[in-house]
Amino acid sequence: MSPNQLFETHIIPVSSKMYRFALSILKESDTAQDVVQECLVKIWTKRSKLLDVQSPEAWAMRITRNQCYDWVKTNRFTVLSDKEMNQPTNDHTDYQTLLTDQMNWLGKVLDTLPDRQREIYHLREVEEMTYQDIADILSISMSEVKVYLHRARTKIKSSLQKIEAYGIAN
Amino acid sequence: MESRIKELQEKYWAGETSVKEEKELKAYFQSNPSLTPEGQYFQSLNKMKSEPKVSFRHPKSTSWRSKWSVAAVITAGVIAAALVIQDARKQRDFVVEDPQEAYEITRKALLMVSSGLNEGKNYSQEIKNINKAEELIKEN
Repeated sequence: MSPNQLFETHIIPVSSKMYRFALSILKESDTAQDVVQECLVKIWTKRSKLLDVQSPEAWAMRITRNQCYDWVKTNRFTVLSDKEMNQPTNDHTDYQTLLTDQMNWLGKVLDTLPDRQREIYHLREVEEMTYQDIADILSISMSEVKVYLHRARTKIKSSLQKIEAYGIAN
Repeated sequence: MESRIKELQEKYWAGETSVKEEKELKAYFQSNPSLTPEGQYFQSLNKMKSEPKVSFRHPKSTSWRSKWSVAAVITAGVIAAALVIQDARKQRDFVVEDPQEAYEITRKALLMVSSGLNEGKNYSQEIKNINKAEELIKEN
């Protein structure tokens, strides 16, 4: 397969994943979109490397992560707003309202997690990536990935238990 | 089925589930909406994965666009160079090739220069006279 074909079959289909990951770090849809566009251009110019890369998806996600943190560094960006992440929907049923509340709650809990735990949580729970791919993206060991993920889940579980017991999250 | 889901949930919180088992868990709550906080949690994970409403330009088109802009700049440069060369050629058209005409033009130019020089000479003579007069006044 040529680098151009590899780009079409392995990179273009994961651009949504790259965007969601960028959005989880930057919390601004326009910025995340610009960053992912830059990543795609960067990968396109380096597409010959796709022939040697073991997991093109993990490679693309690593480039996205680096590009996001470069952007943060350059723009002295403070990740504060969760408005973009939890925009209200137009669903009007009670169940949908409940689910939207749940999403807002989850967004708030995730915001309290350390960056690394939040990144790993996103890559595993949302993007459904393997421990090995996550370890490759973050350049850490698989056991570290498991530890960080377990800590994140424990925090979420304890928050869920509070909701169940007292009807409050914090 | 419910016991299987319960077992998966326990494994999930203990960090022992595989990606496949986690997908199974999410799929179950997607098709069996739950009112418990935990059930809604798994369902919200599904929602987080929903496709974003964004699209990206193919870098190929971006690079073509940049190539076109480079081509446009080069074309503009070539046009500018052509105009400069044409202008230089037009200036060369003013060269007089007939010797007689050239002589006349040169003579006129020299006359103009010499009349200017004479005028300057007269003016400097006047200044000299004034200086002389000033010296005489000072002596007396």
